[in-house]
Amino acid sequence: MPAAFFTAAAQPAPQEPTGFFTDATLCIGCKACEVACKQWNQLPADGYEWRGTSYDNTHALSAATWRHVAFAERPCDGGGRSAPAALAPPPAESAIGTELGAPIRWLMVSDVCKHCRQAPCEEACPTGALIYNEFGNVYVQQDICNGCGYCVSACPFGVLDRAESDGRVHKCTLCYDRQKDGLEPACAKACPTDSIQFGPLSQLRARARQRLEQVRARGEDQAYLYGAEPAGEYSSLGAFFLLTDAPEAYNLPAAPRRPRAHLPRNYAWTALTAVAMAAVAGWAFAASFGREAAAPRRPAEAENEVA
Amino acid sequence: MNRSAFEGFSHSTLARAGGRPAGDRAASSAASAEPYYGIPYLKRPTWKWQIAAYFFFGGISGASFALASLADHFSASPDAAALRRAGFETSLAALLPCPGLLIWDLGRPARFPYMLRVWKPGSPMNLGSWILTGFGAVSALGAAHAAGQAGVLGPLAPLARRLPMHAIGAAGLPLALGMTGYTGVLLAGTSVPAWSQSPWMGGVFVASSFAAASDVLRLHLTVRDQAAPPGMRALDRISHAAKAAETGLLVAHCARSGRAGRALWTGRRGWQLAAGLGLSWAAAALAPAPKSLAARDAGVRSRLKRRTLQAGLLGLAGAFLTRWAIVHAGQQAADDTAAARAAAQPSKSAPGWRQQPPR
Ligand code: SF4
Ligand code: SF4
Repeated sequence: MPAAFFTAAAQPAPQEPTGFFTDATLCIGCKACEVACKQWNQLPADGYEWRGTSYDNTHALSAATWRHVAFAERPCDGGGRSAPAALAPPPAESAIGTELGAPIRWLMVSDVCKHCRQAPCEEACPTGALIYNEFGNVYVQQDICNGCGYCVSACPFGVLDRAESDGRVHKCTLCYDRQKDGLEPACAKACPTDSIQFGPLSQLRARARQRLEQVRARGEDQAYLYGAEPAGEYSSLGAFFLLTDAPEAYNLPAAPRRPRAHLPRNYAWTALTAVAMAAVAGWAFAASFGREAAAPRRPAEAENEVA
Repeated sequence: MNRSAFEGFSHSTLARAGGRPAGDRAASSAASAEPYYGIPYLKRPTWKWQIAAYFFFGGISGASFALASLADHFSASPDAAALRRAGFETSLAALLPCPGLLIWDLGRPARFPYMLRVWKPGSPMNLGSWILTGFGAVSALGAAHAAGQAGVLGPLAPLARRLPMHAIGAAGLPLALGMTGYTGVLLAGTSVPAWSQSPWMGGVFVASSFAAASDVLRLHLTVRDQAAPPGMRALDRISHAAKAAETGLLVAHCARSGRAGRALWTGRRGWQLAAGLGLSWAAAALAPAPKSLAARDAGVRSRLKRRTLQAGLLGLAGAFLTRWAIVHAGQQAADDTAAARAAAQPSKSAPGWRQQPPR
C-alpha cells in the first residue's frame, strides 16, 4: 500500500470482499442491467448507434456505460452447442438467413468492470485515486483523479474511459453507495433472470461452481468459469463469468497479462541500458579528452575560463 | 471502424436480406472473421502530441545532464568544461517546457500536484513524477553554475560558481538517467499491444535520449563556436553507440512483440518510425569527422559548421519523429483487434481461464 502524505479520515473497516457472478447462460439480452445502472448512477446516454451487424447498440463499456450487454452470434452444431473449433469465425454474412440450415446461436452476457483482485488500473494509478474500498472493490475516488489516463491504457479489458465532459475516468463502482446502505447493486437487483448475482465472493464462487456442474451435466460441456480463480500472473476477478464459448466471442481477452508482473524486468533492462550508455559516454570522454589534454587552449576557451 | 460505410443503418436482419450492395457484403464477410464484429475491446491511450513532445524534451534534458556530469567527471580539460556548460544549459532549457506539457495533457490540469500525493514506485508514472521533481532541482543548480561561470547572474554569480558541481552532477546522474528511461517503462507498463510485449522499451528511450542529446550538444557547441575536436569526437562516439543501441533495441522489441507490435512497422506510424530512425542515422552520416574541425581555412570551417548544424537539426527531427511514432502507434494498436488478441494469447505465465476446452 502506498503511504499517503495526507490521511484525511479514518479508513472504514474492511468487510468481506464482494463481487458479481455473471452467468452468460441465463442472460436474455434484455438490457435491464444497463438501464438500471444508468438510472441509479445518473449516467448520460452515449448515443444510440446500430452498426447494422448485431443487436449490440452500446458496443463497449465507456465512461457513461458501466454495464454492457454483448450480443454474439456464433456458429454451433445442430444441438445448439458451440462448434468445437476453439474460435471459429461466425458464418459469412451471405450464408446467414439465406440458408436456414446453417445454425448459429446467440450468446449474450452483461459485461462490467472485472474488479480485479490485483487490478492493473490500481497498480498504475500515480495519484492513488484508484483504491480497493472496504468491500474489496476497485473504486475511482473522483475527488483525486487528475485524468492522467494511465489506468485507461493499463486495464487489459478496456474498461476505464476518460470523460470529455469532466476530464476524469469513470467506471463501475459496484454501487459503493448502495452497498454502504446494505443494498445490492442496481444491475443485480434489476436482472430478471438472476444472470447477474451479487454477494460475498466466497459464496459466489461456490455457487458458480455448482452452476457450472449443472450446465455441463445438461450438455453445455464447453462451459467454464472466467476469472473465478487466479490465472498465472493474473489475479482472480471480483466480477467473474460463466461462459460457454471462447472469451473472444464475448470480446474478452483470452489471457490478460498483468503489467505489474513484468515491471521488475522492465526496470532492470532499462537500468542496465542506462548504465551501459553512461559507461560508453564515460569511456568516450576519457578517451577523447585524454588524448588532447595536453593540447594548447584556443584563445576563445581561455577567455571563457576567465569570465 | 471497418463498418463505417454501414454506420447508421438500422437493422441487421434487414441488411442480410439484401439491403446491402454486393461489394459491401464482401467487405463485411471478410471482417466477420473478427470474433466480435471488429469492435476493439481495448481503449485507446489518451496521450496525444503533448506526451510525445514531453518524451522528446525530457529525454534530451536528462541525457544532456548525464553527459555534462560525465564529461566533468572524466576530464578537467577546458574542452570538457565547455561541454559541461553546454550540457547543463541544454538540460535546463529542455526541461522548461516539460511540466507545461504534462499539465496540458491531463484531464484535470489543476490536479497535477496530486501526482506527488503518494510514493508508489510500482507505478512508473508516479516514480517518474518524483524523478522529474528531483531532477528539476538538480538541473536548475547545474544551469545556475554554468550561468555563474559565464558571469550572467550578476551579483549571484560568485555564489553560483561556488556550487559543488562535482557532487551535484554525481547526485543528479541517477535522476538524469531515470529521466531518459522511465518514460519507456511507463509505456511498457500498460496493456497496449505495441508497447508492452518486451522489456526493452525503457532501453529504447534511454538510448534514443542519449542519441538526441549528443546531437543537440554538438549543435550547441557549434553555435557557440566551441566545437573543438576532442569534445566533438566524444559526442560523435556516443551518438553512434546510442543510435546503434536504439535501433537494435527497437528491432528486438518488434521481433519479440510479433503480431502485437504491428502498428510499429506498418501504416502511418510505421513510416514515421522508420523515418525517425532514418533521419537520426542520416544525421550521424552527415556530421563532419571531428578531426576535420581543426581545419585552419576559414571557408572550410564555415562549411563544416553548416554541416554540423544541419546534422544536429536532422538528429533532433529524427528523435522527435521516433517518439511521435511510438506514442501514436499505441492508439493504432489499441484499435487493432488482432494485435490485442495476439497480446492476450495464453502463455505459461498468463494461461487464461479457458485452459483446455473439454472433449
Ligand atoms: S477490469 Fe480494468 S478497470 Fe476493472 S478493476 Fe480490472 S483493471 Fe481495473
Ligand atoms: S486517470 Fe485518474 S484514476 Fe486513472 S490513473 Fe490517472 S489519476 Fe488514477
